[in-house]
Amino acid sequence: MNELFGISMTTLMYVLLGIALASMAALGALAFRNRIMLKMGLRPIPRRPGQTILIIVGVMLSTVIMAAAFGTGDTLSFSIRNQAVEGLQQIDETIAPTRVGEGGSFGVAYMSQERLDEILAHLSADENVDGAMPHISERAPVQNKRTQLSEGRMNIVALDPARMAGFGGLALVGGGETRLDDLADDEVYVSESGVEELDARAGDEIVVFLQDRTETFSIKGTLRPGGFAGNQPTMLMTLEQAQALLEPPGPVNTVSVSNVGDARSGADLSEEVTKGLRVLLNDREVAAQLKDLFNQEAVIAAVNKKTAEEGLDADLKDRLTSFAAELQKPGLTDELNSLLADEEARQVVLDQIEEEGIEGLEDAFTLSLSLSDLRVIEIKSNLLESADQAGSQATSFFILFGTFSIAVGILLIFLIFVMLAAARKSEMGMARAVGAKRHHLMMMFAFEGTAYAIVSAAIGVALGLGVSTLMVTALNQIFASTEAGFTFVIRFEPRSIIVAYCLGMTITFATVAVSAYRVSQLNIIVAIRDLPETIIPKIEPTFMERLLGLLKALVLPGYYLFAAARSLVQRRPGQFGKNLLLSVAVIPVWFAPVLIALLRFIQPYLMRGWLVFAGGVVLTYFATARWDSSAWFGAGVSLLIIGLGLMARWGLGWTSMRAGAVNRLSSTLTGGLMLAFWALPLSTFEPIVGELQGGFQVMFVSGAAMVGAAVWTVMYNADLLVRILSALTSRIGRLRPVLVTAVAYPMSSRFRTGLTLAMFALVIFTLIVMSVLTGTFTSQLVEPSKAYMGFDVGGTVNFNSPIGDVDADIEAAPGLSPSDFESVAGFTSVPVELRQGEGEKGRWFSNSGMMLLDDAFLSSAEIDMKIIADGYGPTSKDVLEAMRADPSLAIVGGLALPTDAEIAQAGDDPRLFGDLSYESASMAPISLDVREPQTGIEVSVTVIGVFDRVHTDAFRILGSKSLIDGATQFIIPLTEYRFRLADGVDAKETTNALEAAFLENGMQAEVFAETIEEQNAAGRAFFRLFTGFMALGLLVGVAALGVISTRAVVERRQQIGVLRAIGYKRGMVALSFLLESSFVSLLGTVIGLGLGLLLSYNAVNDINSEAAIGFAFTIPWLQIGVILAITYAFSLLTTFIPARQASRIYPAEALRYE
Amino acid sequence: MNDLIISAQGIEKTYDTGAVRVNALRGIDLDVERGEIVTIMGPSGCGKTTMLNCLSGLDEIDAGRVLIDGAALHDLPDNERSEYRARRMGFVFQLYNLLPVLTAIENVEMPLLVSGVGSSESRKRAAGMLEMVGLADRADHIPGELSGGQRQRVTIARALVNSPAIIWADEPTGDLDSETAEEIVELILDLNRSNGQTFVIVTHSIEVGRIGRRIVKMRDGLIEDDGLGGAHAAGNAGEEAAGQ
Repeated sequence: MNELFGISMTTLMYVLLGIALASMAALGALAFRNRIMLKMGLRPIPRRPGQTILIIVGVMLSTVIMAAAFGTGDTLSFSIRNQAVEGLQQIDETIAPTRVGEGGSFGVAYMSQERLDEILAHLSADENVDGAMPHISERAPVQNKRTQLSEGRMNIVALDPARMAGFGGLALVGGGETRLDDLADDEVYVSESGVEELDARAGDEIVVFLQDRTETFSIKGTLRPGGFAGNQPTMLMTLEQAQALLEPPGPVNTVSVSNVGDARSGADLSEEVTKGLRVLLNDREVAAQLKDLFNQEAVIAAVNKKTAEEGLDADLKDRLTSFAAELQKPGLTDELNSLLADEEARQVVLDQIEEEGIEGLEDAFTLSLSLSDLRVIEIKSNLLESADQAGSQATSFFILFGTFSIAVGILLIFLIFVMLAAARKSEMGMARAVGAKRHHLMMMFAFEGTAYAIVSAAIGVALGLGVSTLMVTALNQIFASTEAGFTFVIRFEPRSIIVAYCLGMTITFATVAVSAYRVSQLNIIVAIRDLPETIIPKIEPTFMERLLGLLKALVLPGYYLFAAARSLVQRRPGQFGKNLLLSVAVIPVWFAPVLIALLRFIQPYLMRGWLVFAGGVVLTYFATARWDSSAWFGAGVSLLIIGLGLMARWGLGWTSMRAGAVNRLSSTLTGGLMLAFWALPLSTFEPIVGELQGGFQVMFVSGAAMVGAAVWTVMYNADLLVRILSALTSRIGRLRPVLVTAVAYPMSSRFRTGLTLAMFALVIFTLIVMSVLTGTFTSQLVEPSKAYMGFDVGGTVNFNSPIGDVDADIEAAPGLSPSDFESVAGFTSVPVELRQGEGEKGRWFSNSGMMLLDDAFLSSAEIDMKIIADGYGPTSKDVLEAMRADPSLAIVGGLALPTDAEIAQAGDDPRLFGDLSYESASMAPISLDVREPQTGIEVSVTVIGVFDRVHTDAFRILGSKSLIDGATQFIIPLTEYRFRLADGVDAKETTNALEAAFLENGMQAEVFAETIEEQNAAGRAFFRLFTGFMALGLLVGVAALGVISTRAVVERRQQIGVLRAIGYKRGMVALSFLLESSFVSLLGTVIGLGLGLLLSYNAVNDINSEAAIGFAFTIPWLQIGVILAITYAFSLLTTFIPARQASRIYPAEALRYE
Repeated sequence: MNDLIISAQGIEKTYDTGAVRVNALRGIDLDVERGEIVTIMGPSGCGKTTMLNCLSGLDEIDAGRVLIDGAALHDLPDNERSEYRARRMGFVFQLYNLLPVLTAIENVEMPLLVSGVGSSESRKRAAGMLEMVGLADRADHIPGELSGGQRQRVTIARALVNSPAIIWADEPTGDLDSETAEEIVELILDLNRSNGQTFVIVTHSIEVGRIGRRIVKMRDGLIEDDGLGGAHAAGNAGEEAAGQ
């Protein structure tokens, strides 16, 4: 994994390591100079081991979550990389024909002997290359004579034994290597997976089915997977054997290249080797023509514009930059020649040209098709790159989803230190009284906090990697069940470990610094006598004081320089040196004191609200009028609301209203408005502010804002809640005193309770949202036969060995009877490009492909039409009938069309089908040109309808096969079949019988119901795993309650004694604690549940309107019930231990405690 | 001495802190009559508070027997003992020991609620009690908002609200200035006169010592003088003890 949220992991590591080391060094220096403070800070750690453990556990949780995300990302990257390397071994590039072969079939094309010689000569001269292997790759059905088991798509790979150098040997299962030149004419090697499919062993005879005959070979040995043996069932032989067997139109169809270096490092030379090959293979004349076409200002500007786009892959960016630069050089450089053949870069350039509407470049596409007859694929470096991308995406995804848990973890750290500070309050007050300065207290606290941070981040990383190991194991099980044949190999990069550790430590350190600052501000008397902090009114610095502070910050280095000069005059060399050093050292962090001074300067205006309000107005304006960003819009409106609340508080402060009432009123106003704003779906505001852009992240922000606002409102109205509870419980009799104390305590320390409540509510909120979304998206089971247009079973055959007459074959096949089937339909899928509009002016759009249907398909498919063009309806049957009668008619899938919302968003961007959207009520027939990109065959169709997105092929265009058959000199074979079974026919058995009957055609059949179930099962399992990851946050919430309860028992020991003295029984004491934590957890649950349901409801509605899908909002009550019950049970359990401890204290002992 | 409310024989109590073993009570015998005000005096560390805790059942004893109204307190299971405390005893502590999160009236009504008295009845009686100690106007204030004397009045109101037979007071004026202490002493005497409740008061203060019709002097975990010599001697004993 190389990137996180687009930032290079190496950069991230150095930055974080720098921050961590710098903070450590600074603290170390402070500790050295203030050893007594260090001692005081560290002293409590060994003295109270129980508390220390509790703190470490609490502090490490956010690191655990981050480390787990990193570990999973690393494992993903490594596993995919590993698979690429193991699968390809020494093969770094492949060269294969661009277009179809001479025969005009859609089959595999071969290269000429002349071309091959040219390539081999070039490669042998390239010092970056240590191996070049010309080979044939084909596919054919194969059957084991002994076991009668078959493989419909066995790869046949034929190599030149004399050219194995550079590719390593062929490794045999069971050890040892072998060579190809000792194969007899009728012997082959088979790969491990091939042997497994056929249940074969050495010596078995296998039959290869070719179009018109069969050949028998004997298995000489089993090859380990990877390299030429690949991962799929493969049969290896010599080129000589293959040429005799397949009688191909050319010597070979592929050349594989091995670069100098091992399997991994070889890929580093790929760019160089590929460039050389592309220059060799390109038609220089065509390349020069292309250059002339592209070499114009508009194109260069378009490319540069693309390069400047955010989020563009770094490698692609480099290539595009180079493309623009090379275009402007005289003549045709090798670099440009190679880039022209780079299909990815070329396509991006062509797309950009289309988008910018640059005219006169219509020939570019056609020209680029004739640039070369062979394409060079950097197969390994492409795979490695996608491996890295997958890993980065996974980590970003996990971190993004873990954000809530991490946030909750940070709140917990803060809470822990707030409580520590509370516990040490009088001790620190004493220290202040005997002369310790504020910064001494900060230091003392920071030393202690840092010690916890260092240890807990280390434990957190270790546990996080453990968690990711568990998740990877679970992932492996999910993948095992889907037969994807992919295994994750656990791997943690040292770099990620360092990043996770430093992140964890830095976050803890920052939190400690904030709480240390807060602590240091305490008033000595308030601290010693343990009075409420509100007793001392804060004195606002005057305007002049603030202005001076700001000016001082602005000239800080100069200030130190002046101080140095003064010390020099006063002949104090020590002070001189120190000030001189400071004047230089402060420069890199200059912005911080300026920022702080600026904040202090504007603080009074911020507190009065009008400045915040004004900031909100400006931000909202920019967000809606300029940036179209929903995130900034949310931030702007939030500022508006906060400003409004502050202004209300300030204004009401001038009236005769009591301070408490003013606070309640203004805070409820702020919280209530904020809650209402974020609870409304964004679309509510669209009529006023227009369409806003926002990713999935906005949902997270709105979640956090809603929970924050709700907790805020509840906490400022807590006394009302207590009164209601009190009225409700007034008749409960003996439980009443317990309830009174259980509610009174959390309500008396609102900050602490508010923090805990926020944490708990956030965690519940996240889990509810996850559960509801999972429930909603996985419960929408599409009926398989509906998704597959009324068919139950599908089968695919080899292009090279198509079925002649499927109906006759079924009749003749043992185990099959025509009466088993209600209908048998066939089609062929081809990639196509589409163009709408007149002649040259229209733009070609690439499309996911066209299904060319046979008549049986058209007469038996059950397709739900969404829109039918006038004159072709009213039923779906009518549409299909029309297509059968007129092969130039076609229909398009709903997923190939945009929704209304997407059209609104895209604005005037060029697109197919004009303003037709998936939600349009009607349409006129649309004429399209259809082009097959490899052959260039072009036909015209008329689209007469749009079919429902419920069908699996809804991203494609459906037409009649006779249309293409009429346009070419040859008949395109049918490669895919769909079967509708008669009532009572067993789908699985029929599938097996079909595979056996059409073995020679290499049929692979599937039962659609099973396919869908497998997909759903994997989806569900993945969601569950994910919910599990999110549930890590739950640990944090529960831990918070445990920490609070444990602290409460310590803090209230004496009060427990009093309660016991006035008659509280043991059970009542314990119950009081349990009820207290229940109060917080249940309140948190109610807030989290309510807001979670609300947000997911909005999210489902949003997704439905964006994608025009009808997901029904589904609440998995059972799952939610289980989650809530477990959460509550755990929160009770963590409280139970301290509660029990509290109840066991003897009253006299408790009373003695101070 | 025919109406004994407290009868203790041979009470022993040892604290073992691991490093040190302290024989806090070394065989205490004490009888208290119903309606008596007994003050316990003695130097710091002589075992006064320990004796109060042991007699009232707040602490366990190692040997001996305590009968309260004829019932062997330490033979009762913890729950019953708690219940007994709730119904029959009231406590006043030096540091007030009010629950800081509850208002004055909520603190006062707590023993009533614990003994199962209904909400409105509890509230009524607590209000009456606060009025009696002169704090009716402070009923809705939390302890943090009250002065030391006011807090102690709330504590006394809480101790008396259940009309307990015995009130145990540990240094009830220890944290108060002399004027306020005087008020508290008067209050105790008033209550004793009007309700006839038994008071056992541990104190260092001579003033408080004087209100005891009987002064028990303690030293090194033993009763030096059980104060049955009469009220006259008690005054002197109180002065002596306080002088140390």
